[in-house]
Amino acid sequence: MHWSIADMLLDLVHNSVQADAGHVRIELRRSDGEMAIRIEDDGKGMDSHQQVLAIDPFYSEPGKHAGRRVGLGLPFLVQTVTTVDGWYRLESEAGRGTTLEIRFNPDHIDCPPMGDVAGMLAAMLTFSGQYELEFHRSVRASDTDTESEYRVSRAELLHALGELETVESRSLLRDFLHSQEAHISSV
Amino acid sequence: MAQEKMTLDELRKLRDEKKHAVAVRDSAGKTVDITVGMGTSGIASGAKETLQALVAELEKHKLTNVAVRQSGGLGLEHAEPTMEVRMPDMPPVIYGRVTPDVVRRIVNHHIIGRELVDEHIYDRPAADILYAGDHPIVDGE
Repeated sequence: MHWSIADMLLDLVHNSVQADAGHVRIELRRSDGEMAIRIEDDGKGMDSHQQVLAIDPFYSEPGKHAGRRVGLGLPFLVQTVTTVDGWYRLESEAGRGTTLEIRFNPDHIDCPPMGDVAGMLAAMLTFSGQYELEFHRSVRASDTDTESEYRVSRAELLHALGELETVESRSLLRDFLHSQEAHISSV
Repeated sequence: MAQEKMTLDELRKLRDEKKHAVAVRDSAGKTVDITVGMGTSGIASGAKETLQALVAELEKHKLTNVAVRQSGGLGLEHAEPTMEVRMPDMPPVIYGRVTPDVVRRIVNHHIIGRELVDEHIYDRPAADILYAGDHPIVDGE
C-alpha cells in the first residue's frame, strides 16, 4: 500500500502515461476541510465493464503484464477515499480517455498524509515518452480568505530546460517545483 | 510573508548558466544510463525517495554525463526499489533494495569507483561474462 496520497497519484499518472495518454491534466484544490483532486487523461480509456474491474485490486488489464493478476493503482486510491468518508467519480470511455475525481477530508483521522507534492510532480513530469502534463494546485486559507496557486506545464518546462533526463535538468526542475510548493505553504 | 516563486525565465537563465559548465566537462563523451523502476510496487517501496537521492548524489559529485530515466517495474518486485545502471566498461546491473543510503553507495562505488555493490545485485551480475556474442546464456541452454 502506498504511504501517501502523493504516491497514489504518481502511480495513477504513471498508468496514464503507460496507457498512451498524450495529455494529462491534474488539479489539486485544497480548501477548508476538503481536498478535491481531478485527473484527466486522453489515454486508452475503459468501457463500463473494465471500469468495474479497474477498482478491483485483483484485476490487471490483460497484456499489460503477462501473467499478472493484480492491479493496484486505482484500487489503492478508491479504497483510501472511501475509508475516510470521501467521494469519487470515475468516468471513462474506451478510446477517449479517463477522468477521476475525488474529494475527501484531509484532516480525517484515517487519511494518509498528502506526502511530498514537489517530489511527486517531479517524477510525474519525467517519465519517458512524449506527453503533455498540466498541473494546477491551489490552496485556500479560510482564516484570511486568500487563495494561493501555481500551474506547471511539461511543455513549458521542456522548453525552458531543453530536456528532463540529465542530472542538471532534474536538479533544476526539483528546485523550481520546491519553490512553487514553498510559495503555496508560506501563504 | 509569502515566498517568491521561481519563474520560467529564471529557470531558463539557470539552465543556460549550467549548460556552459556542462559543455566543458562532457568532452570525454562517455555517458551513464540509470533507470529507476517506478511501478506500483516501486512507488510503494520508496522509489520516489530513491530517485530524489540519486539526483542529489549525482549533483553533489557533479556527475553531469548521466541520464536518469524512469520505467515501470523492472521485474523484481520482491526487491524494490530497483535501479538499472549501464555505463561504459562495466556490466549492466540491476540493483535491488535501493534505499537512499544504497543509492549513495552505488554512485560512489559503482559509478565513480567502478566496483560493483555486490550485496544489492539482483540481476545480470556479470553480463560481460554471461553473454556469448549477442545471445544471453540462460539456464538450460
